Amino acid sequence: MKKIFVLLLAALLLLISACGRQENTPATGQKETNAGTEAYDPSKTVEFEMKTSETNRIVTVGTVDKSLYSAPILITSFGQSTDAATLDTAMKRAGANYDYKPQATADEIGSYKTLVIAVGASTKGLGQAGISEKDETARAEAIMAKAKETGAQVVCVHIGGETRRGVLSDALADLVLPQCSLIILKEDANWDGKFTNYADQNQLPIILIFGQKDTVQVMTDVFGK
Amino acid sequence: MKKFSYLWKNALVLVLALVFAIPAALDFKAMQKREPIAENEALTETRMLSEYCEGLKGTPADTEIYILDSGVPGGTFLIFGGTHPNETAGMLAAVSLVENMKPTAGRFFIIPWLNKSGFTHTSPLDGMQDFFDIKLDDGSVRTFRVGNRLTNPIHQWPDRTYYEGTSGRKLVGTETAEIRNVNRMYYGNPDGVLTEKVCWGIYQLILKEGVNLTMDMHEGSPEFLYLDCTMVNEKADNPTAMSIAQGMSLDMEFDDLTMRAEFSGMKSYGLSHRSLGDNTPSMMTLMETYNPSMGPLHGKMDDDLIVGGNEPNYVEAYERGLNYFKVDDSGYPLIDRVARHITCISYLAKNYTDAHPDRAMSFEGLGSYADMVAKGLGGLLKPVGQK
Amino acid sequence: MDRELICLLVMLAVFLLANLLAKLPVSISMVLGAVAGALAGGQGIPLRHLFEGTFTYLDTILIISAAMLFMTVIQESGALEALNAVIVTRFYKKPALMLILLMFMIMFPGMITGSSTAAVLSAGALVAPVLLLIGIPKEKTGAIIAMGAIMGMAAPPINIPALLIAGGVDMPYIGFEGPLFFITIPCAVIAVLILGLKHCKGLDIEKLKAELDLEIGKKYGFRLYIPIFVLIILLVVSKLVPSLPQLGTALIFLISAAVGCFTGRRFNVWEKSLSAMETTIPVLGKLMGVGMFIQVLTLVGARGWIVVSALSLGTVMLYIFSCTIMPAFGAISSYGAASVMGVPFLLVLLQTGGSNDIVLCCMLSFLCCLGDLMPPTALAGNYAAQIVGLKYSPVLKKCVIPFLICLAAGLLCLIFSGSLSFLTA
Repeated sequence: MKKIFVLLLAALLLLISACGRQENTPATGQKETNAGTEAYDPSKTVEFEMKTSETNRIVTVGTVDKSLYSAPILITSFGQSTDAATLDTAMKRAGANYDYKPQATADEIGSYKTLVIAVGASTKGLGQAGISEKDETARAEAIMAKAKETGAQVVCVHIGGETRRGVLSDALADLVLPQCSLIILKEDANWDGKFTNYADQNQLPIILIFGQKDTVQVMTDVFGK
Repeated sequence: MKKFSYLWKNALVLVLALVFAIPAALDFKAMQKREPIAENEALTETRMLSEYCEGLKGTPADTEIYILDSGVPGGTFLIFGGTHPNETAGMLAAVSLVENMKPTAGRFFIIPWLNKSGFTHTSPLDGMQDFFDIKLDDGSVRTFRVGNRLTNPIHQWPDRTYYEGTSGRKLVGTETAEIRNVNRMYYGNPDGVLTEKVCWGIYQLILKEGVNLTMDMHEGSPEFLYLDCTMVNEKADNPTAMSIAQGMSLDMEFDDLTMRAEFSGMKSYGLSHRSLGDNTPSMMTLMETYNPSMGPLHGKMDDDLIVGGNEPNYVEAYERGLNYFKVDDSGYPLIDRVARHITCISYLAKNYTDAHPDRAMSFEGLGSYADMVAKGLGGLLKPVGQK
Repeated sequence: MDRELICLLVMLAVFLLANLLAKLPVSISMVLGAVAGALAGGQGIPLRHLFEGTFTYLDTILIISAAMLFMTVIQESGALEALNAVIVTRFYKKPALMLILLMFMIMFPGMITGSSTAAVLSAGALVAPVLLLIGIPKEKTGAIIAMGAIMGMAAPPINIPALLIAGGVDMPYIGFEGPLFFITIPCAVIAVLILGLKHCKGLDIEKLKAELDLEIGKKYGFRLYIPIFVLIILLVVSKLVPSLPQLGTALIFLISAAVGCFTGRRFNVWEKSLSAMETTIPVLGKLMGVGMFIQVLTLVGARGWIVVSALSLGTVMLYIFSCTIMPAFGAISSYGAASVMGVPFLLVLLQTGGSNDIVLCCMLSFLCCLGDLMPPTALAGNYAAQIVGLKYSPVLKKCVIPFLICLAAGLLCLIFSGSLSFLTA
């Protein structure tokens, strides 16, 4: 009797292990609780039609007037993500003349005719810089107010891709968009059409890129000598 | 008579135990012997870490530093693998660099087995292999160890239920075993536990040799968030460090390789990139690649898993949305990971040199990522006279 | 069929054959299962792995051995009997409170040794006459002792299934006290009240007094309890002031035991220690066998296979299996349930998010402990029935309701582990 019971038990156990293999639940939606509400969820792929591709890496919608972007040029960051450093490197490789101050204050930007702003928040980056989200937003607001005053041209650069979409990142982007005359965007961040719709409605030129490395080419085209 | 048989019974049990224990002990003992390393004409000097921390002398944790000096004045680059011995690609990348590198500017300090004590044991219940083999192009075979991420408890025991490292990291609760983790005890302590002495050796090496750039090579299981990623401490060289790292990241992308750069966490107390970055002038970086043999889902443990890097369990887990890191059918062979580490190092040196031409550092001898992968480990590693 | 599944089958089959047919001890059966699994997995006889697995729980083994010695001292010195007498004479007017205190007495040795068998055989044996005396029927007395022993096994400081699960996922055994008390104390209280309360109203104290050993407490007074206080104080101090030099749990037990040798009735320390160790060795052997078994399970990839299979069950099924298969596995060994099922289940449940790893581990271990009531081995049930002089089926029948309540409580805590994370602080 004992033996039969135990053998049955073992069989049951194996059955469970075995039947687990057969059913295949879809991958999406499994990770909801871990990812939180607003954060990007890598296990979910949002299907949308991309204009750029592996072979057609840079797509410009509208006309970019290069003459608008005269020196002196400042690169700064809204959100202290690593994207500003990428921009710094890309501009260097483009051979452009510029200053790089990721934490520039409104007082420092008075003399610049062109502001290139890397938009995208990183909690790690803010932590590293010792800046709170509130202070960063205040700095961004002050810079935008100052830029309105000086009439500097603003370029909105969002090259962090879909991982760089979230409450703070979007709020910072919303500060820059109304004053910018050009958007440069890594296209996978546009899954909800946020940036292309804005550009369309406001007749703004937008340069879509496929990967971060394409920033080098775009910077060369727009700011290169 | 009864007493006699009782004695015999006990003696028999003891003998039986010894019959099994002695071969097992020999097996464990074999792990205490370091792998040979092939000669390289460009190698200038070999030192021991104890030259920078007296307390390491004669201990199982003292480890070799291979110095390759180009003779051309420039910067100093410290590269180490084996901080966590089970993260195999870091150690093999360091060995490959020592055996193949021809420095053309600056000096390179390379340590393949940083936690040497950790290489002498494996982690219980993980079913890890102790050794794995690489067949070279000339037909010879080289054998390497897979160790444990922590110092061997035989060399440092017991773990204290409370310990505060020099970084201010408090080891208590779930972290007590980390007192044997090199990458939690920086910047070390010459009078502390053995693991801290290793950390202190690195700290002193950076200060005494004026190291400009440091790379700590790691791997992680697919559950880990920062894979194919390099952590950078900006503080020492703000904000150029991140631009240098992003330059590396762009260069890797031009080679169709992913290697994002990320800021070092502010609370990563005791980790190399944080504590050494905060306390030395060196730019600190730490790189991670994916190692399927390290995760709790791993399947059968064999050379194929360690060298081939293919784990169907993780492919399935990824498809079910359970890991962040994309794992596909093709696996992530050891050679790909080794080549990725070396390529990252070479681009970091290049971008560092671009930013600081007076501290130039560059090397040849290993080729591009594609060259290394085409050669395979069998071509990258040199024969050491074993048959 | 997957190769890993074949290895798993071979390991289970050899284990069961050796244990049930060849009547070998669980520990030896596990060794044989491990060796067979390694052979089936194409690993030969991996001596290194067998040894490595065996010594995984060395720290735990030291703690259990020391705790067992302490238990023996407390029992032999008369402290437990004195406590019984105090409880009955002080609390006979409040039967509910008295029953609860007696339940804690039964739990105590289980708490510190982590073994339900130890609880049944030591405190269970002492409390059983008291329970019968106050009019609780035999089968219910047996059920109370069995349930108490199991709650004691699950309660902190030592819960071996929790240790096994935590060890399996590289989690130190720290911060488990809160959640384990949270689940075991209410369950123990409910169990003893359901089983015993209606039988002990209007007790005759004079009749009870005649049966109790009232002398031992009077003879030695407070000093009888000194070792218990030493133990509690040292454990608490080491927890509250971590920066003091740490003695370690094993040494704390040994110190308290040494103190106990001089605070009560005299006994032959050497002989009693030897016999205490003899009863513990099978438990220690099981731990070593379990370590070896899991090491091989991991080596041949069967553990990863079980986890990935469990992953595909979906969360709901996983919860259902946690409260059915895991306790059912206790029919073989509750330790085995913890390491074979508990470890992968924990890994998978962690992935569902919003959970607390320590609470999950505690609740899974609690469900494993309930397995000690599962026939045919039913360790706790069997010994408890022996003590009251019955076969084990009537005793087990009385356990059904409290058992189901415990199961439900465990499952609820498992599901809402995230909200219980405050317990781990």
